[in-house]
Amino acid sequence: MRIKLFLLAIVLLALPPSLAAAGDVVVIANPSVATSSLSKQDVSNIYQGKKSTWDDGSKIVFVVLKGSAAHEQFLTEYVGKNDSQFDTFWKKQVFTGKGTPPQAFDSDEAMIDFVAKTAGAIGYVSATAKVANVKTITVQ
Amino acid sequence: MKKLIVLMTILSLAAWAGPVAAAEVGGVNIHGFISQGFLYSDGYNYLANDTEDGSFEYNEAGINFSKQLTDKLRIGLQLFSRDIGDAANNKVTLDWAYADYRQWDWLGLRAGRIKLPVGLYNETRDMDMLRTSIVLPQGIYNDLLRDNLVAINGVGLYGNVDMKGAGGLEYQLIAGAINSDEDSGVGKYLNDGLASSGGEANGAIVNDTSYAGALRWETPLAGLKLGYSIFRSDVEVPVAFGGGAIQGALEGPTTLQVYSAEYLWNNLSLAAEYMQRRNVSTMALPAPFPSPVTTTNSESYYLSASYRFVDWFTLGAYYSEYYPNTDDRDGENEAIDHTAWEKDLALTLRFDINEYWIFKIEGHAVDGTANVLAVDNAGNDYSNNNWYYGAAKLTFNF
Repeated sequence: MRIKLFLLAIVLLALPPSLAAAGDVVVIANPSVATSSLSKQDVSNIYQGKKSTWDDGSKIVFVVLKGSAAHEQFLTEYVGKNDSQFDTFWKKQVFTGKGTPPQAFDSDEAMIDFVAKTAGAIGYVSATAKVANVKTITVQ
Repeated sequence: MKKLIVLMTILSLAAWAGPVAAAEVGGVNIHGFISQGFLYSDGYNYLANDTEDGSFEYNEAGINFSKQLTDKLRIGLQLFSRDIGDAANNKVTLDWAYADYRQWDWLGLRAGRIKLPVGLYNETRDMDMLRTSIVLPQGIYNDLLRDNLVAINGVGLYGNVDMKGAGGLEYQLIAGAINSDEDSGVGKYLNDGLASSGGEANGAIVNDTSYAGALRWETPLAGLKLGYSIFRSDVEVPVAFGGGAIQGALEGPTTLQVYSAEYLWNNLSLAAEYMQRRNVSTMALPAPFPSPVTTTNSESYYLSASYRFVDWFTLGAYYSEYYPNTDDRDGENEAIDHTAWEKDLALTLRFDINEYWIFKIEGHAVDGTANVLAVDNAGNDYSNNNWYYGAAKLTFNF
């Protein structure tokens, strides 16, 4: 019995946290952004600092929503990393002088407010958030 | 050094009390880290000179300042200090400092002191929080030779090319010079090799012309990254024999190539690297002494895996092999055969206490003494080819 409980504990520990917290994510951008759709590769490149300008040459300002199910799902689905791997990636940039990590917000409202007011900004919110004054980006 | 440690200590204590973010003063971003480690070994002193008694002479600290001046221009620098046994001794050095102008995403220019992108970990080898293991596989990432490989004073081109369905390609090309402090650990390593002939390094280690190139391909298979890096450097070291009676120089090119693969899947990280190194060394001595030329090919590889079970706990392991002379893998030409290889099985437990603090503990079972230095083991009869060492490390970063 003890062995079964031990094995059960190992299995539960090994489950990815995101399984219990998955939810839909909506990608949003400032209305000044000309494009209405992006590929997954584009989103991944933007959030790893590899794509720094929109097609019209204007600067991309990308931001994250920390500590939420939407954040974990966004990273897994569009960036191909979990939260820990994403943080490590940006710390590598910081400690080799290659970049500064994205600004982080702790609520959908704060994220929407920043994206609405910042030219060239892109972010994401949970599907249940009330989206206003920003445009929705389709990710293919 | 004292000011750097005091600043880092205040910041780290603040992190115990509550959340602390990276500082920003006048648009200048400030980040830092400090690690204190402990090494213990049986059989041989390893990495530090007194690990058989346990050694706290094993730390790193760094602080960096950066600012985005325009959309395309960025500048920054990092100060760094470390101690590893009787080498390095917490001297503060300029780790990197460069201006970075990114004209397009596929082409940027860097000038200054630039980190060398050799293998998966060379650029970040001093930042304990960025990996699972404490001690990296020493066949590729030798801690005493760090200063000979960590950064270059020169210029570089870099970029990211989006290949659409074929993934993304990241490249770096760098050329410049390396000046290694003989107290950094490189001098100790050289002296270990020269000791049998009664010689010792006698001045600055200069690599006037060095080149590095790196390609990293993010493949269409999600999470799989493949890499290739090459580094070539012409080294010159003044050498003295007989207590200075004979002056000479050890010189010649070193070429290092590393093939890398990394795969991330959910909380699982897998990595493998293979390294080839070729040294062509001339011991230039005054007449009537001969100036022998020696060519040595070395080889190393490792396989590693780590799994993050929960946010606060990651388990990691690696197995590595290192052969300093591929023409004599079995040590048949060595006085002690097991100095011809090092086979290391490592197991690491990493605990992320919070966003800023990390504690790790690690054990190594080693077969062979290829990286055991005679200068750290005077009086040892080298009777054991199987031995063990352990490390623990507490790291703060912001």
